[in-house]
Amino acid sequence: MTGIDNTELLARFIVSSKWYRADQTIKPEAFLPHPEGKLSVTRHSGITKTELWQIGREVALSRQANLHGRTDLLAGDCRKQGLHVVPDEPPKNHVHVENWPSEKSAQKMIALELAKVSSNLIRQE
Amino acid sequence: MKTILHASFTPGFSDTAEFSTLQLAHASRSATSHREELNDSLIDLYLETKQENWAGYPSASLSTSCLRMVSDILQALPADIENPNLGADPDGQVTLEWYRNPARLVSVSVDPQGYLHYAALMGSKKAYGTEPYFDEFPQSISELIRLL
Repeated sequence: MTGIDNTELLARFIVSSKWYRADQTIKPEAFLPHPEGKLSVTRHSGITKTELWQIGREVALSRQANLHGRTDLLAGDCRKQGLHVVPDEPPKNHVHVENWPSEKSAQKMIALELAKVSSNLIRQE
Repeated sequence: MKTILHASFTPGFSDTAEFSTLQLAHASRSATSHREELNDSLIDLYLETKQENWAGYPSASLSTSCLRMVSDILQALPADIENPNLGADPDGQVTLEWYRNPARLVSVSVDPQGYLHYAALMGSKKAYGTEPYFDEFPQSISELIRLL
């Protein structure tokens, strides 16, 4: 896996209906780090859209969750918030977004910023 | 005005049985009747987050203590503030959201200990912090919501 450019797209798979609104915008909760302090995303680079969706389906299946779709954002948008974008395979193209502040309110502020620049919900074709 | 969330949960009970034990009893309905619709949303949220890995990885379900706290907070909202949309964080906190668009919103996470963790975007301006809840909704957060 190569280094991740700021212009590279990262996909966040949406596995809860509570993570997007009726207008298909993504809620900040989708970008909060999990309890270990990391956010899991998947690089678009080097794989087809079909392969990207297959990864999403496998993620959802392994977690016994429903795959509602995905949202995309740029690696540079994460870095603007002081976050680190760290390749962490396997699974293929998996990335951890790290360096979150410990305070919940500060995490929420970053999550609001990421949700603002992320794409609307993209459903499987 | 006080809303009391009565809940009892017995391992092995079905969701339906648990649902029937989750009752919101209103001591008075006059000033906060427009908040009542939130009770169903709160119960729906509880049931959805009971599922293991509901957030896609090991994630906390909403605790009954958190539900009670949220129920109290919803009833304590100033009358001029509209109902929030409810959500859940991976750590099991309930989120109250007042939303205009992705660049104008206020999001408040309620933790079971009674702290409100908030973040707000108002176009190019932003604010975040933590306020304790002592039977009154914090004025600093109310003001942010009114600015939306």
